[in-house]
Amino acid sequence: MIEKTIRVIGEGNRTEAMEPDEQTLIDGLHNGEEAAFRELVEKYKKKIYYLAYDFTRNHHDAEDISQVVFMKVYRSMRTFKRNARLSSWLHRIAVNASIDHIRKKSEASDSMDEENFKELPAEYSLGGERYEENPEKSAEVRMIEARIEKALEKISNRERIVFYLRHYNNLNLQDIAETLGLSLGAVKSFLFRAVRKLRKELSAYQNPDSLEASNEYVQKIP
Amino acid sequence: MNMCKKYRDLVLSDLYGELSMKEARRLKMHLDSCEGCAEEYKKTEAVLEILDKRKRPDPGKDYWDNYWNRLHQRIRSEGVTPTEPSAWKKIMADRFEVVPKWAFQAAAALILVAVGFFIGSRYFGRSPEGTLSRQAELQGTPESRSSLVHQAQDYIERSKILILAMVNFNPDEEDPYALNLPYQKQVSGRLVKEAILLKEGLTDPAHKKMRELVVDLELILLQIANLESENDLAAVEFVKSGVDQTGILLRINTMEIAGEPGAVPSKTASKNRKKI
Repeated sequence: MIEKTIRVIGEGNRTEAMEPDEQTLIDGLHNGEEAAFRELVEKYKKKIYYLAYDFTRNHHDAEDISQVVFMKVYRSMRTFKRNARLSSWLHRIAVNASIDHIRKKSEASDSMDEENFKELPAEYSLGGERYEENPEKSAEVRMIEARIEKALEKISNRERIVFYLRHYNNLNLQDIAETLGLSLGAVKSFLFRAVRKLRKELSAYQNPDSLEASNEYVQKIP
Repeated sequence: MNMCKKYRDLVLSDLYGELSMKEARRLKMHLDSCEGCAEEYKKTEAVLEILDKRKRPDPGKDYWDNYWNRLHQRIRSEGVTPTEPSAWKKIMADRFEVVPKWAFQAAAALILVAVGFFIGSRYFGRSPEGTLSRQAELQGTPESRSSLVHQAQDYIERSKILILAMVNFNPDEEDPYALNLPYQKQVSGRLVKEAILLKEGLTDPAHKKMRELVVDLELILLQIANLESENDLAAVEFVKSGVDQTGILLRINTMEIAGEPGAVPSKTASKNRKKI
């Protein structure tokens, strides 16, 4: 029997049920308290930034989108329903803002390239490790990442959004359904199709830890 | 992915740690006994691990530490201010926010049930008991035979529409949600009840084929009515194979075309004659 792995991936945490603090936070927002808004920003800034980054694959766009999201939240925090889920609301705004942004910048869709890495200041790290500390590994990691990005481009928008939310942003399936206004069955279906396609796209990676295998595979990419 | 359809959703849910203990146990038992699914599980797990290798660049501590300041500055420079709730909204909020969410849900459920009863009685209101007593009154008369044939036709027509929805459903292309299995199960249950009465009434040898059709339809509808869950796609496939084996849709269409006793042109025959 295969050992079960509980997957905790990326920067975010597994989506939490409404915490006691969250109700206090919502009450504060409802009363228009700036301290509550700041607490919200500190709590969700990384999640929203990285979600926007998934869509745009560009640091500056992710920064801009995440700020737009928080400004929208700031504008409507007094009218937010007290019994609604803060996380779902924020993620829904973030998904919509990201989609709007991409629509406006459709010509810049192929942004996961060398230029984006160059845009980042030298102190930026990749997977917690600075490029220059292990250049050989960085090259390999970047090759794998480029291949993954290509694979992600080949799935439909809805499949990709569901996959991003589940795999890289750690929203559970029920929260994704709530965020996107879909049924749980539809979310499961999109996720299944996404993984099936990604598996097909990445099938050549039998042993991703092997540099030889990666090099051999990279040569096959047109 | 070549795996048992019944378990394919469970595999991903398990890999993302979203299965209940009961479901996880069920999956484990299945994986222990099904090499194909165990292999698929491993492969899916492996691809998710590859996908983990995609890391988003971390803008660094300074970036995060100054995030609030940059945002705050932008909010000020763009003159963004919180929108005040309208007086009406305030009144509504004050009045209803104390009411727990479940109360609204319960009220909504009650309304839905009431609407369901109304629609049910309006459109599906022919009670089997009523039909039976009417049949008993008219038993043996030409009117009763004619009425029965029309009822059987109507029954076949409605069953056909339901079966076509299942046969034409492609789980690889469409959402199970779109199929609306709970509704299909409900309608199948009602049709099965009607079939019992029709079988008793269709005793005339001239209606032998129609009776056989009703009997075969009843079996298929019974399978649908007894589907285990709302997402039992494996069972849907089983139903489809039953439809294929009995050639039921072909038989219905043949009967309509041939103008069997009492048969009238189908409303849906031209629209829905697809996969037979």
